[in-house]
Amino acid sequence: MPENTPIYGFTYPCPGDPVDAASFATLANQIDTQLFALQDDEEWSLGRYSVRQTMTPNQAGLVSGVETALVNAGSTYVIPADGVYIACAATQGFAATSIDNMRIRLRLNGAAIPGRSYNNNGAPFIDSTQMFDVPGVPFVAVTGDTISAAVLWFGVGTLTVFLRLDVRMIVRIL
Amino acid sequence: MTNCLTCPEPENYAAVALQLQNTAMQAESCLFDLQKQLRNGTNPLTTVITSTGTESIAANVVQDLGVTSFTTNFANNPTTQVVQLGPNLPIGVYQVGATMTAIASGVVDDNTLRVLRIRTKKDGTPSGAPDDSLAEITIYEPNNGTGSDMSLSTTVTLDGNQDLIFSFFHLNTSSTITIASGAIYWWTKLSDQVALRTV
Repeated sequence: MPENTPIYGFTYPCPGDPVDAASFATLANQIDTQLFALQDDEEWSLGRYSVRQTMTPNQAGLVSGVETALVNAGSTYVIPADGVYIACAATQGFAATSIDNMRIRLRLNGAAIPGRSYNNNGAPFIDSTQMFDVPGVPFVAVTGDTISAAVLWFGVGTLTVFLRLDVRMIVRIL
Repeated sequence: MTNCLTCPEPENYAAVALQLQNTAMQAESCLFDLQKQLRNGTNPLTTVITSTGTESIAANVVQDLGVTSFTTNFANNPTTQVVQLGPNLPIGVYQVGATMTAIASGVVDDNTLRVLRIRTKKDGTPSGAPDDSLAEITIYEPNNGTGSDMSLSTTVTLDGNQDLIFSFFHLNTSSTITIASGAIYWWTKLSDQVALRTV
């Protein structure tokens, strides 16, 4: 009765088993399959998912005091494989009459985690532009999860925001 | 014989079954070693934890955050505590980060600063001892009812004798600041501590 190796299950005959061409073919094909898997591991080790995307167009019409999810093209990233990811976001708010303060949070499947607030000492100030970033937030995610962003701001007028989103996988979860 | 595999020779054709077993075992050993190395490259030491309790911080005092109540979101190593973090991490270069919401427990002093720091210092020295490295972010309280979200990430080198500390400082003298539960602390190893080769 053939036996199998403990890790990959390579099949080999035991003493007394008939050994024919199929015995060699089976083992060769199993090793060959594992070599392809190894090639996959090599490709993962050389380069993992890493993207930089910019929301286009900028999202306009954000109302003061209302946290608004960014939805324009490029504002979300769908996780392509299970892993731990680091996401960074840079945003700029502009085109309002004046901005008192802003906050951006990143979200995993719509659930927000703390991001970054921005406010200048002495606010409210007469300034219609704020630019800042979230330098790195980890997400433990599975294939199909979505990373997105939401902005909360306070000021006068309506706000237009720019968003650049960087996401990179640091750990591949198998 | 190849680098990994022995092959049947004329004198042992009779032991083909045993040879196939040896081939299977040797192939598995070689492939497994390679796979282990490659997968280690995609699985660097990493921990992500989320606090499940709050921390209260008085004004005008640099306080080291010592969250002990947390959920481990991910850890591929035994080090999952913030307290005495540095000495418990293997020597190496790490990317470290924290993200949290700081909320005044009572009266809010508008526009007063909140500072989040990530620093390393000699293990066992007082909290105020000189830092070996320091990164910080300052937020001025927006006073819009949502507190201050703060995120910081930096790279540190740990030699095994340093502590890695998350610290907080603020000037909201009218009330303490509470670090809300849900704060995330994380660290991932970038590389061993190596001397760069110069040409």
